[in-house]
Amino acid sequence: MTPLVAIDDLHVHYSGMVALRGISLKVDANEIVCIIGPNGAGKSTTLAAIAGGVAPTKGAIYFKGTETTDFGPEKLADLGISLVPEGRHIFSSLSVEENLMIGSYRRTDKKAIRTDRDRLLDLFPRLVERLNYPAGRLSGGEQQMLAIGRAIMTKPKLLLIDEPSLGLAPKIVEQIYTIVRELRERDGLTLLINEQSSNRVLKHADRIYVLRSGHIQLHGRADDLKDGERIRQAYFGFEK
Amino acid sequence: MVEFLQYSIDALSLGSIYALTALGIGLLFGILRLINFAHGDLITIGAYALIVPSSNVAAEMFIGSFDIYLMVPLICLIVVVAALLTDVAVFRPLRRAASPTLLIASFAVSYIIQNGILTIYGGRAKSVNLWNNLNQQFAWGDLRIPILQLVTMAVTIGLMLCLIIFLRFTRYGKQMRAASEDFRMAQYLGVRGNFVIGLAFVISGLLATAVSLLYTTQTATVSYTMGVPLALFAFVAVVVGGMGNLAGSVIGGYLIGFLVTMLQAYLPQDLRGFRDCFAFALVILILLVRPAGLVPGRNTIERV
Repeated sequence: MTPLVAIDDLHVHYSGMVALRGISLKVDANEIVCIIGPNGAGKSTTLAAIAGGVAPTKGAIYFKGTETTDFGPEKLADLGISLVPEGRHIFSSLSVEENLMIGSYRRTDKKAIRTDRDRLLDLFPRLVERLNYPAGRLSGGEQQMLAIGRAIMTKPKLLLIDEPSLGLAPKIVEQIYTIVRELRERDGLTLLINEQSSNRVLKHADRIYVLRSGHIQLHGRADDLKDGERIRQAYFGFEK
Repeated sequence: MVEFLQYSIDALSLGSIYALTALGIGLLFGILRLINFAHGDLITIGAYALIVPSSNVAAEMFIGSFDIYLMVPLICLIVVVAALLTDVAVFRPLRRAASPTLLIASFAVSYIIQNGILTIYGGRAKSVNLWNNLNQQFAWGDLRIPILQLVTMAVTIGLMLCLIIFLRFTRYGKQMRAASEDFRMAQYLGVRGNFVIGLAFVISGLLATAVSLLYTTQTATVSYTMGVPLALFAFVAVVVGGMGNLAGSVIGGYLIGFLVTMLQAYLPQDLRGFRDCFAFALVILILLVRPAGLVPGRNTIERV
């Protein structure tokens, strides 16, 4: 079976600075895959490259077997890739409702949009009473939920989430992961998620990649890495 | 008191012109981070489109002599096409360039348009009589109110309402607001960047057309540099109002109109020649107190 996303030997440079030094990874349909690694490892760059926000210097990206390396973000959004970037990037002067609906304007299945919206609001009841608020007034956790909801409204096949737990209370993070899993079960969504810490990820992910200094140091099934020792080594770069 | 009210009407009318121009500049700045100094020259194009292309000193009406229902759409079309051409030919290739590069490019566009008009129409200002009957006045108590000033204000309010309705209630308006807040994020959600920018150029072209017609009727002259001071004052209005904030641009436009008119009226005779100097000095004072402008744009507010 062709993987939903495959990255082959991807290099990314930002004006002289190297962010990715040749990484390869793949995500199968309906998987939850996590990339973990310290700050500056290249996690955000990887997700941005898949979503078309960063142009690779070398290597290739495939989505459903088609090469999409040079596609821009708009086209990739149409194909079914949606990114929830780090820092959430909510349109703070738009209302919560407007934020949600921005993602739906390219869709042609007008009836399904309404149902999707209502189902989302069932998942995120905290947004319902704030629908007409400027989104900038939401709390961090609510903004994260809105950012995920907004991405879901594009009806993606692949959802990329960059550090969903950054700056949020553990309880909220747990809620977000519960919802993410529900979306996977219910909508057949595939998820590629960046995180800095490994404990939570081990619980929720099917597979894990450890990224450090632009290289993939380790990858494997979450079940096989449960004890955390190999992840620790890969993450910090210790040798035994 | 009557005198002050009389000047206030002038100020509102001039402020309307500046506000419309500032809206055109502010809209593009919001979405593209482009300070478009060529916006003034779009106004010039709209004015020159009224007359027959020729370097004769006496202007002969061309589109300007058409029926108003044909003339206004035609001028709109010409200015909008010109605005879109500047985007496609100049600003689109510079999409990834830094703001200062875009600013310099807009100066280049401005000079190209001015010199193009200079070549075709000649350098002398020409007298153009558009909608003469609007220059009549009627008396209201001791006040004399030129109909044109009422029309200017009405058109301004009308266009602002249309813009508000467009931005608030239509899907393209919402996409424009989203893109002007976070362009890349909007693209990630499938919003077409070039389309939304094109739309902003179309709207700024329409706003420029309105200014062309109103301003030409008022001054009854066209010259190839007529748009330059308008763009300059409107730019100052945008800065004073708060960059990246359309309400601020409008408020800034009226404020500048008010300052200029009142200084012209109340400065001692000897100093009136330095009116703009006083106006800009006041602008500097305002910016010293409120560096982000009167209505700070959302881009200057730190997002947490």
